[in-house]
Amino acid sequence: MLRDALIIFRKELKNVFKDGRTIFAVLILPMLIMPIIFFVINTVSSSQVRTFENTEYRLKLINVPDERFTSILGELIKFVQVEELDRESVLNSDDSIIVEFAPDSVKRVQEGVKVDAKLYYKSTSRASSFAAQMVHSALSAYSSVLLADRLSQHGLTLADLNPVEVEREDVAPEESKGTEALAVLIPYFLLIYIFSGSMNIGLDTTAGEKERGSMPVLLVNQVSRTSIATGKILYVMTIAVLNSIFTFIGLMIAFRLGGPAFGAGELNLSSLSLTTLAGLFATLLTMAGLAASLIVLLGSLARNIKEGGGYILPIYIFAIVLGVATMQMESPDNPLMYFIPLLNSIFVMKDIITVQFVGSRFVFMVFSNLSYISVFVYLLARVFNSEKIMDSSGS
Amino acid sequence: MVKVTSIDKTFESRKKRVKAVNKVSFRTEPGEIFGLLGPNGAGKTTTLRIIATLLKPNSGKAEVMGFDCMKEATEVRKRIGFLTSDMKLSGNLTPKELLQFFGELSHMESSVINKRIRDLASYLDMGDFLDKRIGKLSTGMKQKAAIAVSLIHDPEVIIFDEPTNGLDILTARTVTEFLKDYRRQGRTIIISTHIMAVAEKLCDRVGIIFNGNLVENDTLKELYTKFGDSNLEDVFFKIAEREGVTDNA
Repeated sequence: MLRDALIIFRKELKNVFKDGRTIFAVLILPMLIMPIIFFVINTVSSSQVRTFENTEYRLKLINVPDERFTSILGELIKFVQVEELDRESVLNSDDSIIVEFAPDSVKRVQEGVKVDAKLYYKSTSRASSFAAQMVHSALSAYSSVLLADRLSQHGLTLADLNPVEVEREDVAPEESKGTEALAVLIPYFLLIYIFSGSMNIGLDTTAGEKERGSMPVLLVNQVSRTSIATGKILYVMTIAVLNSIFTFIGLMIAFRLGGPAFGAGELNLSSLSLTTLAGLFATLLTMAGLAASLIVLLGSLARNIKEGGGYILPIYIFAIVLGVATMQMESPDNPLMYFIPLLNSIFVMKDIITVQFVGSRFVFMVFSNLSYISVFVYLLARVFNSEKIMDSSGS
Repeated sequence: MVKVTSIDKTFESRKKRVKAVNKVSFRTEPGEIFGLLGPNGAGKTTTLRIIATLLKPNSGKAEVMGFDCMKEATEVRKRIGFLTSDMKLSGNLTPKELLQFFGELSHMESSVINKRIRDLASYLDMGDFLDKRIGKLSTGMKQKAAIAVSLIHDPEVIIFDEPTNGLDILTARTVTEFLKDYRRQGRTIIISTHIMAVAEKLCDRVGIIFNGNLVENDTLKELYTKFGDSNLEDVFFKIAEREGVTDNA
């Protein structure tokens, strides 16, 4: 049986890899897409920050208590003071801000009482928001200066306001530090790409074959239905795994390129040891097998690719939602959770990435995924035997 | 040898119930081409698909070389070469690669497969496009490749559903000549067609099927004598008139 399945698997793989465009779509594009996305986001965001920093803002400063505030502000942004600004002109431009202190602010500073300040900016403009943020920082810094003045009159310093000094020590193993972000991103991307990588291929080899009329030629052959099912699942699974591996490589390149986007600087890529990668690969295999068998089953139920797409799309959306929903979740202790398809693989991947591998969870995940795959293969063989589903001549 | 005994086939859905084949019986011997003739939707394809093990009859029995098409489907599949009317080969493989694939699936030795590919290529005049991608072939070339695929395992029984449908005159000629040659080799051949000229040229016996009923099953000579005509098309229309079948397309 396995021999026939491997013959089908080899033929399908040969067919797909003889097409340059498919190779590009399955292998090259997933590897390029993440670095390109990261690069574009980094470039756009740094260029915007540079533009904001280099902009000379128009500021109207009203009732400033003393020059120290203006001096602090000058260190944070470039600005020129203008007198003719009002609310309307702040609304109509992206570089205008009004800072209005209370009329008696000089007196209040001298008396050591609270000073009110009001900031006018436009939240819908990123430049105006940036300038407002800088002004706010300047106000905070100025506030600290005033506080330090007042404390010194009583023989105190700012440090005296914090009688308890807190020192934090992270006892997590060195290799697992900085892996939290990886545990959020990697399972999500692998899950998405397992499905997106296998959807079209899975549909083409099932509903597509029906549509082209080439399925009966395979079905009148002496090969068993289980072999056909297994061969097609192996093929779709291989493409899904390759797609995910190349996406993973692309993701790693993107992280290496780093930059401010996605907090890439906080990632501990050195935690991805060979053992971790092997564990991820094993988990990926069972997850891909599960996704492939489900997609091949649904594709086989459809009369054509269009109908098959309708069956598979909800599963794909579910996978995306599941990926997002579990991003911030930690692996639960309840062993039953490791019998839930897809969810189990996500949690085990999180365990592996954060170097908190739990053998029993991995075993439960592998066992349950293989069980689901066996059920799908069985159902698929039945579908291939069903003339109602496989033969459209009488419909 | 193919023996079909009183097969019935009804397709049911929530909306309708269609009796596609009604108590059809016939028998075909080695060295004979049997043609199933009838208009579209008469039950030709359904009958052939039952013999090819793709469909199960509601009642009756179909046998290929003594093997029951329902109970011994795998044995039947080893012995038949089946070509569907709606098969469209596509993809990036070449006819040679596709033939190798189906040869391997039939558990043939590599050397036997290669020899068979050479024979079929020469037989069906496929030498020029054996190594070209199927996606880039013409309709006629694809049909030849599909025929070769169905014959790679050298089957004893050949079941071709509308084998010359949509083919140009040259390719159609190659196919009919090839079928005649296979008959000379003592193979059992069943074809379906709605082209009377093809049936006249090829078939030793024809079964005329209307609305799922096999209304005639004779040699061409017997049919001509019976209806006093020497043209199959005229005979066909006389039978259609007798059966009360009109064009309601």
